[in-house]
Amino acid sequence: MTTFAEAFARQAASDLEAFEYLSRSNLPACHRLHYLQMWLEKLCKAYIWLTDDMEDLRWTHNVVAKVLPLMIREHWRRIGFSQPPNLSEIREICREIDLLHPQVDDGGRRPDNVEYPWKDGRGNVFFPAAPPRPFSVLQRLEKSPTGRKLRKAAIVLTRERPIHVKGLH
Amino acid sequence: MLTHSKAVHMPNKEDVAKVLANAHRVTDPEITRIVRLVGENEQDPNEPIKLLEVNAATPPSGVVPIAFAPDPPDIPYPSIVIEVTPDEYAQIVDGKLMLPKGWTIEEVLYSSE
Repeated sequence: MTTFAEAFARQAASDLEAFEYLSRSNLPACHRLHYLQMWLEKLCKAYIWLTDDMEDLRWTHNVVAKVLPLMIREHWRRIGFSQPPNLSEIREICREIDLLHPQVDDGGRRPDNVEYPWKDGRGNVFFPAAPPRPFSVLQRLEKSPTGRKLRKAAIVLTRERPIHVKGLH
Repeated sequence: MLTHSKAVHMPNKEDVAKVLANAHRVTDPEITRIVRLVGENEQDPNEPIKLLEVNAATPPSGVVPIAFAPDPPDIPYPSIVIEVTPDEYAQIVDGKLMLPKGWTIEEVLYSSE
């Protein structure tokens, strides 16, 4: 019987495929970032140890900054990464990934997201396919050394070397 | 039948918990405290080693246990890490923020103070 942990891991792998497919397209960046956020959120949920009193964690959206840095740290420990990783920057990028979801907005300070239109403090309305400025997390993931390491580690954890407890919940 | 010389040496959970805690402390300088948690089935080898880590850099989003499969030979047990802020840790100690049912603080493995 498939457990929730396995189901989240397998759906994360499918979301990763969608992310890569969209990355090769000319569609606006919001679409691939939407799948990036969904991929990493589900990957994180495959690792959360849920007890009966913690079921809500399965459906919350604000988990990437809390969970993914520790997954990457453990992955790097296991492969014997020679250089200490910059976990502070990893955490910053992960927070930006959480903020891509419309329900995560830092108390209204970050209404920009990759799914729904939003209004800024001056009343101007924007939508994800044509944001007022490019989503900065994309630049960090593709151009910064730490961002590239994060993406590589997340791909390995999704496809090649999962380290979650398979029988988990 | 295994002879004594061929028996597989399984390090105990206490020692493995210290190895893991040390690796985390070295990798992440923001950690200020690591404590070992224990549950009701701690003698069961399938029961994970549980570390509660205090880190001001983590988001204040409560108790989120993250589980990892064993990594033999060094880490032959599954493990769980819970990372909380210093304020959340104080709430746990005061009983205002709850750990998963049956889990209690056992010993401090690292403290920067």
